[in-house]
Amino acid sequence: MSAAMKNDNIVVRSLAQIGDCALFLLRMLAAVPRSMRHWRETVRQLWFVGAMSLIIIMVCGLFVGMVLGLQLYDVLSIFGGTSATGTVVAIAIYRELGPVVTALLFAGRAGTSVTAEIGLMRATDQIAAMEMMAVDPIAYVAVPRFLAGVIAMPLLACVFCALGIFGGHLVGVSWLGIDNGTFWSNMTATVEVVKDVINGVIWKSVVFGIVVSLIAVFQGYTTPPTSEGVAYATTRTVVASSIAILALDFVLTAFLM
Amino acid sequence: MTDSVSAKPDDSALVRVRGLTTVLNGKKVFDALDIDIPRGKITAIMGPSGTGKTTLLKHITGQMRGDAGEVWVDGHNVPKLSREKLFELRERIGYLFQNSALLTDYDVFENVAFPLRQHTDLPEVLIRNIVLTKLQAVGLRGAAGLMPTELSGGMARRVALARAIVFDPMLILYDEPFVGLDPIALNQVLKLIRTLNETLGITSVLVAHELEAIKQVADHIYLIANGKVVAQGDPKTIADDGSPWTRQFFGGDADGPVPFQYPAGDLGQALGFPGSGA
Amino acid sequence: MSQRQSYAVGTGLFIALGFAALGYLATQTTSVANSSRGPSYTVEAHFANIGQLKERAPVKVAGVRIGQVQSIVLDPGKETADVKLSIDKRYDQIPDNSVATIFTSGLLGDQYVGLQYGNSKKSLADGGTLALTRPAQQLEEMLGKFFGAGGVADNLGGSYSVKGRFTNVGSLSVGAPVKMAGVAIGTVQSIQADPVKLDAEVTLSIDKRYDQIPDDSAAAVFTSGLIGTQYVAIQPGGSPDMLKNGDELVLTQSAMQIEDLIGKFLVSGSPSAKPADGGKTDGDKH
Repeated sequence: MSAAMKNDNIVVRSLAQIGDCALFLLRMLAAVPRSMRHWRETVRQLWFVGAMSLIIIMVCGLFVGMVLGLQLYDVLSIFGGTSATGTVVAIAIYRELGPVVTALLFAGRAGTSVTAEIGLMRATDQIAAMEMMAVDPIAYVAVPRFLAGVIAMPLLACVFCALGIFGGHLVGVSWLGIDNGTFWSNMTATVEVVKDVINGVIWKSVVFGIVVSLIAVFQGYTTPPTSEGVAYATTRTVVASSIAILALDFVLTAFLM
Repeated sequence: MTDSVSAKPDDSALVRVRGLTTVLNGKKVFDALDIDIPRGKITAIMGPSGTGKTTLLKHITGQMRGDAGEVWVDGHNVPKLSREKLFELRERIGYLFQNSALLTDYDVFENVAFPLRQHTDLPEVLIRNIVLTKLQAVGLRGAAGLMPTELSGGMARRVALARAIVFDPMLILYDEPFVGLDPIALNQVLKLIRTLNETLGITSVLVAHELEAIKQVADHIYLIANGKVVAQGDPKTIADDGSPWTRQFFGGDADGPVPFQYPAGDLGQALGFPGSGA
Repeated sequence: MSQRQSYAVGTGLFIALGFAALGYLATQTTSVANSSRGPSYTVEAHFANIGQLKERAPVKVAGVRIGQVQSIVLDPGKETADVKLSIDKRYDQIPDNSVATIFTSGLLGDQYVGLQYGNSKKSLADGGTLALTRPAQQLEEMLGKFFGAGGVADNLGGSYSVKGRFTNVGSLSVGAPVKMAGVAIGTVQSIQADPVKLDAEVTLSIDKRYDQIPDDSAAAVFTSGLIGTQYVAIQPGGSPDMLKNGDELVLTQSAMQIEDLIGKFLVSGSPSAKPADGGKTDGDKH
């Protein structure tokens, strides 16, 4: 990385970053068995990246569902298809908005804090101190945060989707007066478990979880241990994660369709 | 194990550095450096800023590896150790970081307990006893429930010291333990270093600039400059050995073997005066 | 230690919440919710055309779900599709002369089988057959076909012109396709308002290849899909004489009517809504 940093070509630099990132992933995967003895730390990180992100995920999910319900009702009423509101809300949320918006929020909420935390741990020699206490920081610091992110993402996406459906129902049924039975029966008639929930929500969000957590941990771990370094690394986490999420979303959609 | 004669662990020296050469970013940090750290003694390593004193500690703990030479610690050649062996060795070495490096996530108690929890499966009661004993030794048993952010610099350093000695190590490396401390805290740390050495017989390596403080505790002083040992001896005699290095370092002269000017071209030429520098 | 445990409890709650949400999504909002619960019996129905009906589509009476489509099979040598309906045991009082019709839930929704009860005293038994069926509505069939129907027919073989008079052409425009059975056979050549008869005279240019169109065929202005452009549909009649260049199509159906129909279909799902649509009556005429 240090060699690549000196190279002023941005393409070479980006490629070197991606390569370093992949190598870092391999290092983490190799350290997963060793980190099993630190499973408590994984649980603790799951609390920080997962449970602490719940509020923002739930609020955003609710509003996304509500605004979808409103917009779709408006458009569908042109064609007299307002009874399909529930279906379209569910499909839009399951296939796209649920995993993608959750991943973007997750990158902003949990990814940045992981990057900043690891970066500061390096800047304050905490990582070096662990090395000195014969504790492998990859296994103790990097892997638990990575695993916690991978586990938390699909769970958060599910919560987001559930709240989204609730929001759509709130606007569609309670406010705009779509029949409750129609709302649900149209939804259940069209939405498929495998295609929409498993492929749409679960697989996508697992992949997003891997990518966002990897980027966040990698940026924190490899940034120069200074305050500027940490600041840049947090920014890079958001930028790189967002690009990766949306690009991967396209690829995954193409594959899972 | 190439050179079995020099590899032979010497009873009197816990750490033997032989011919250590390290190049960092094209600059020779160490140039065939030889150093012996005797057992049970306090050895101070001094030198102008940027001479690689902290780097030397990192070589002793295996965090960095030189380009040539050997670093023997208790009979192990550190650069050649596998990761597992190195970790085993590190469990017997305490390291006090310049900025304490307490884990900000945990309170004082958990910080001191951290190595125990990572390397042992001791029952909670025993862990508690060990941790409180160590905290008592540094005088901070009452602060066990505080978070690292609530500690002053001197307290943080003492907690870090308690953490470093939790396994009763054979060797403690102090990286600038006095920086940023007020005279009271400095004396407290100084007293701890001496006590630990005297009561537990822990070999200590001290990297510091505070000459007065070092004179009080150190048994032996190495003065490093330009990647070599330029002077060594006990605190009373080292200042009088007559070399220009010791004279500048201990006398605090601005110019001398360590130049005031960073190496640069001719000033006149840099300012563009015609005819100068010819 | 208590600090550690509280993290563990909170994290456990978080994981439980996540899985509860997943369980909710998977079982309450998807087709899993429809999989038959409890015992059911099977009846058969034969449809001339099942349209877009799929397996597991609902079977409804008065808009209430009573079962689902179990299988759809086309027997070789037969022209009708065998549709097996799996109906909840609770609804075992269905008269055996009930009518099974394929409806669409809303305009965008999936199709389902609607049962309209007959007056027979005898109830359908397990393995029984619904003799009276109505295929997927012609209107919908046409809408479905025209969603992605091909472009304007090429004019290589030359063309001939016929005229049609419409009381309302809606938003039909010159160049719009003329279709028969969903296939483009020509284009709209001109649209002119007749100042005397106060209606629209539309000239259709039809490909020479299609010169076997009966002269009593009907022309109707339809809409491709819901938001698509309008086109002229030719519904073949039964006359032995064929349309010639310059002929006029007497039977026409204006654009207005189809929109009325759409309005009717919006409230589909209630079996009381008679499938009385212009397109069908037109077709039945011949």
